[in-house]
Parts: sequence; structure tokens; C-alpha cells
Amino acid sequence: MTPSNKRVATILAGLAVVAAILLALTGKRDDSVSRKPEASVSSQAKTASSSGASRSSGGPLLKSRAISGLPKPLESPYGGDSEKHAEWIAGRVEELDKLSSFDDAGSLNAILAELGNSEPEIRAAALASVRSFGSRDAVPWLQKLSIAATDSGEKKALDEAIEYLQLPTVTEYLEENPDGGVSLEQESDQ
Amino acid sequence: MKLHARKILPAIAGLALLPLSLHASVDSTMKVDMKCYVQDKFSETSANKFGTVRTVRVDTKQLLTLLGKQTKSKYPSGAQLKVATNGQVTVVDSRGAFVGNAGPYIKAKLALKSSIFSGKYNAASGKETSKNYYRFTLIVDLPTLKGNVKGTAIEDFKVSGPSGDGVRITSGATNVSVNGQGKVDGKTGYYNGNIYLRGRSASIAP
Repeated sequence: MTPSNKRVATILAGLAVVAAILLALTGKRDDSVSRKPEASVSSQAKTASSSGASRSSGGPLLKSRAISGLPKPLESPYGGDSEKHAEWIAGRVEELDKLSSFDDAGSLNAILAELGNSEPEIRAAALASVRSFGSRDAVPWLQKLSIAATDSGEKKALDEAIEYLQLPTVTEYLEENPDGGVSLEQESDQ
Repeated sequence: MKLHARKILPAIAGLALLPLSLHASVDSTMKVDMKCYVQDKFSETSANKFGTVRTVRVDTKQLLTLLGKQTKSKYPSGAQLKVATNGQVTVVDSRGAFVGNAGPYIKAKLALKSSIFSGKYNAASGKETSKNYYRFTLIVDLPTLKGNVKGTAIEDFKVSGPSGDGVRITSGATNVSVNGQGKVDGKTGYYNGNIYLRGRSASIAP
């Protein structure tokens, strides 16, 4: 090997080491972004209460937290202030709205999971969808979140949703009070 | 001729204001989130009065259940109520396909012609980002549930510029805080709550 070849080989080896270090660093950062640790309800609520004020233009600093026993909330792949991010949120809100029209446990769980989302707009849409879904199966989850909530506004909204879901529905009322008019049973017999 | 000109000039002036009043909304799915208060127990003597009120939940699924009973229809899971900009209410499936007409029993009135407008509209590009305010009325006329609720609708409305392939997206999200009265099983009921309208459509830009 000539001295000039030796120099080229040394430079190439150096470049390879630098590239390896850079790759390792990048890999580590990706890991930290994609990791969604299992979180307790209280840490989810802390995230929920403070996420609105803790965003950077490059994306959410605070990550969504899975509520134990529910699927992990979906996260936007886009930066926090980008138009794509806003579109992603609008699309997600629309999906939640649509899910609330179904009656299966899977749809309810998918909606409930988004109460742990880092985006306040998605959490609000999820709560509206829980109300619209109309199942009392949601009440224990809402109660847990309400107990853990540190944001008074979110706590109030959760408590109102609990109260709303615990009310008798108009069809239940009509079934209990068949003497006031035409009951559902009488109607269906006609 | 002069007389005609006098008649025509105000009409032309009126046309100049049309962009404000011709705001085109978008057909939307409707979510109802209301409470209804009905007298429960009540007794009165010359010395005492006693009463309780029952509060019941009235939501979209309840309306669909009662509508299904009335029309002898079984709507699929995921069915929704859809409100056209002319106020016509239909039942659609989760994909938005027509399932049934709710028209005789559930009607909406959107006073879009007298809406007020805040935001930006560009006639050349067709782009619009606005907040619109108008009166909204929902009328339910089922045998066991009747109601007439009203409120001021606040709509976030957006028409995007054409995308690369010329598709323009129109979207609207409306919240109406409503109240009103009606009958539940023949008894007077007072309503309050919210109605949410959400719509999105795609069109090819000219």
C-alpha cells in the first residue's frame, strides 16, 4: 500500500466511524419519539392539562399517553404548527365523530383511548363522541379520568359527560311510562 | 325608462351584497346532545305542593330509534342523521349513503339567507375561511316525542384552494346551543343542549 493509498484508507475509516456515530444518535432519537410508555391515569391527566401550553413548532413535546386497558391514542406524524398537522387533526376529529355512530365495544374503546391524546382538540372531540356514543360503559373510564384530572375545565367536562350518560334515555323513559301516551311496545304492536 | 332605472339601481346595489348572503354551506351529519325536563310527580293541596322533574337524555341514537319504530325501519349500525342546507333531514349509513327519509318527522331550518359573516372570501380563487352565524331550528314530530328547539348556529366554514389535481374541499363545523319545548309521551317537556353539524365535500375546481 502506497502512503497516499494509506491516507485515503484512513480518511475513509474516519468517515465510516463518524457515519456510524451519527446513525446511532439518529436511531436513539427515533426511539424516543416512537416510545409510548404505559402511563397511569394521573400522568395522562397531567399531560392533558398542560399540553396546550407546551408545544413547539417542530411537533408536540408531550406525547400522548395510553390509558391502561385501552389502545394507545393515535399521534400526528406532522409538526405541531404545519397545515398538514391541522388537516390530520380535522380528519381524526371526523373519524371520532363517525365512530360515535356505532354501538360496538371496539368503537367505544377507540374513542375512549383518544381521551389520552396530547392534542386538546382531539381530547375534546373524543369526549363529545363519548357523549354521542351514549353508552354507560364509558362512565367508569370517565370517572377515573375525572379523579386524576388536574385541569379544572377538563374535569368539569368529564363530570358533565358522566352526569349526561347516567341520565335515563328518552326511550327508557317511554318504556317505563307507558300510560302517558303511546308506549313503544304499543307502537310496535300496531 | 327612468322609472326602470330607479328600480334597477337598488337591485344592482343589492346584488353587490350577495356574497354575504349567498354563503353556501355544506350538507352535514347532525349530532344531537340534549336534555329534556318533564314533570314527574306532582301533588298539591291547599297547604302544600310537592313535585319532581325527570331529566331524560335525547341524542341522535334515541331519535333514530324512535324514527325507526315509527317508519318500521331498522337502520344499520353507524347510521346517522344528515341535514341538507335546505333543511331536509335524511338517514344515511356510515359511508353517507341514503338509508331513509326522516322528513315527515324530523325537519331542520337553516336561516342561511340572513346569516352574518366574519372572515375572508376570494371570488377569484374561490377560497374561503369564515365564521358564519345564523338561526337554526330543529323540529321533531314523532308520536311519543315532539319538540321545537332553536338557537344561533356558529359555523366554522372553509373552502380550500384547488389541490394539484384540481380538487377543492369544502368543510363546515357548526355548533348550535339550543333550547325549546315539546311533548314527551304527551307531557310537556323543556329542552336544552347542543346540536353539532359537521360536513365535508369535495368538488372539482372550475
